[in-house]
Amino acid sequence: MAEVKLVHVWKKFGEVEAVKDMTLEVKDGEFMILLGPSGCGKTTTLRMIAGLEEPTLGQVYIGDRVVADPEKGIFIPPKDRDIAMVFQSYALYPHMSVYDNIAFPLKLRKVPKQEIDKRVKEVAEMLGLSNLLKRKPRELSGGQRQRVALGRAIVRQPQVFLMDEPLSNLDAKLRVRMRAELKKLQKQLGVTTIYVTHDQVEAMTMGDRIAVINQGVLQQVGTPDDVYHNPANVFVGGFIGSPPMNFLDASVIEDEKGVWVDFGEFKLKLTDDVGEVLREQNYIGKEAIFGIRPEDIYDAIFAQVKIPGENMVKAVVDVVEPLGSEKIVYLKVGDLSFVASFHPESQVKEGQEVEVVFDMTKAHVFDKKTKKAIV
Amino acid sequence: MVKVTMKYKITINLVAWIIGALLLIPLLALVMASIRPFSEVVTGWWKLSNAHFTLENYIDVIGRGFSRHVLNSIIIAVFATVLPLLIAGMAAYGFTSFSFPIKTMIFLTLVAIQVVPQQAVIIPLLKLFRDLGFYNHFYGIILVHSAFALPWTIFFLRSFFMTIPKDYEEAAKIDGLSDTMIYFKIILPIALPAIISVAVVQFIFVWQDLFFAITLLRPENWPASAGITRFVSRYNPNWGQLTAAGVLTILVPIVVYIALQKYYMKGVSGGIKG
Repeated sequence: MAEVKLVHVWKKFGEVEAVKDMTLEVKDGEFMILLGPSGCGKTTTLRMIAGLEEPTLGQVYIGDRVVADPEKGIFIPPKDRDIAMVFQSYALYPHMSVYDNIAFPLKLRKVPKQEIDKRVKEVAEMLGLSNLLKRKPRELSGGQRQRVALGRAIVRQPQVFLMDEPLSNLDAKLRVRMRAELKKLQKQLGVTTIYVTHDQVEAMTMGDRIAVINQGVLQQVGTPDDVYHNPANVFVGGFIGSPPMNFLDASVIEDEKGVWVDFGEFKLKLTDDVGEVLREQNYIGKEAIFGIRPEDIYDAIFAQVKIPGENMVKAVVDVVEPLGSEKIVYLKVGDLSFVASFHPESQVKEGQEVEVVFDMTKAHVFDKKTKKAIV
Repeated sequence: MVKVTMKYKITINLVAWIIGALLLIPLLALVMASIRPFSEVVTGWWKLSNAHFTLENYIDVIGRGFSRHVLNSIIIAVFATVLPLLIAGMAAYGFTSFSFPIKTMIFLTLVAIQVVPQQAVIIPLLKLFRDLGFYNHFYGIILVHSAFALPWTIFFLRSFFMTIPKDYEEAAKIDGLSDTMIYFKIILPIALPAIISVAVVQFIFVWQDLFFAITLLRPENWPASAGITRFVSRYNPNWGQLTAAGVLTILVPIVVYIALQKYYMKGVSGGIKG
């Protein structure tokens, strides 16, 4: 087991900057998720840790060892980094049986035959592959292939597991099952794991911590709860959560009652704590972005705290999407649109005017220019 | 997707069978002429009334040393297939997986070389052969066939290698293989159907060559394709021996094709499963 550290790492492909000044520390035994949209640089980051790409600048550490530092001419090849990688396509060698696929990395390391046999069988037992060892990859289902790929990684007993969207080729049902299995397995083995995904549900459910990346820049690192409830900027707030966080342009104003966000069509009173921060940072009278998650907007009937004129507003229901466990409701106040996640028993209908309540204790305010969270 | 109707199926089958039959008629004529006496063949090989069958022509042909020509063919074709494939495989892998200066230019040159006909280079080649002492030696003609095979085999294999996902190479790198071992242990086994396809085509191509054989070798070293001409006579056309030699000549490529047909079909239809 080992920690992994990236220090001011850059990766350029010609003129394109795929990773920009990435500094990230993955603790020993941690399950770290690299999350971001396609092309954000998360796979490039993983490949630099694996040694499949050389950073343009910066240092990569695995344990205490520098495995890449272009300025000092250090580049340890993948085979000597003591890592194992699971690919999106699984990359099982098609001409080898399941047994040989799992045993292959051990054979290359000249592990004695008996030891190989013992370890392959142990891993196969752990992953439920014992009766498939003689089969070729083409004779396996997607889930079984995925397990063989995991087996090939586990059998090496590496210091770090690197996983590049290993569940994305599975169907939805199997993905949910494998998600839980993978998480359990990681805890059981205790190996430092870096897992790349663009699926925020995978990130939230599996990771000890999530590193959110956008356009090659690390946006935020934190526990799933942290990145969900305290997004560092508009991107993180919008990327994590489904439906995403609502963002409304607002002016920050103050009167004798306190600090408000004014949308033109209506205004909402911020909590005293938030108001205090905005006042201290000189946002009164300035433009800002107000953010609130759909589940923090209630149908007034189901709201606990409703203060007309302060956190309550009349809106017109545009579209209702009943999902069983909740109702996704698209609302309009004048030209302003936002999404709410209502209680499943809410009886709102399309076209109806409804009173909605904003839970202002869950409100976020972002700087209009930098898009960074103020509170 | 086009819906396949029964009428369409019947038409396609009918056309395929007619083409197949038309192609088989000359082959059948060849075999019939080789196993029947000359007197019967001249009245029409297809007439089966009072037909007599004999292996006399084969015995005569072998007795006149034709087996030596078949052996020459085997030696030339085997080496002129294995040698270019060894080189082409590695070259194609290089073109697919590595970056090096003027890579595109070298590749385009290879593609362009394919259009040069054999006849265009034969005079300088013959001079070169005389100077180097390659004339009338198997290694000489093997080198020439290999050289002519390289552009198209590299082109074909490169196209196939490009369909192999990069993930295999990267997984092998992490597993601990060097670039050379990745080629031999991972890429080569995966590309086996494509390599065998190329091998079958090249083997048959070399086997049926007449031009290089008669220009670069003396008659005693001729392969079967050239040796067969020994049975052509202006005044006494011995159809029996000529056709028996013909059958013996095509026997080896047919056996090679049948033995490797499974891989050949996989190779030409492409696709990596697993």
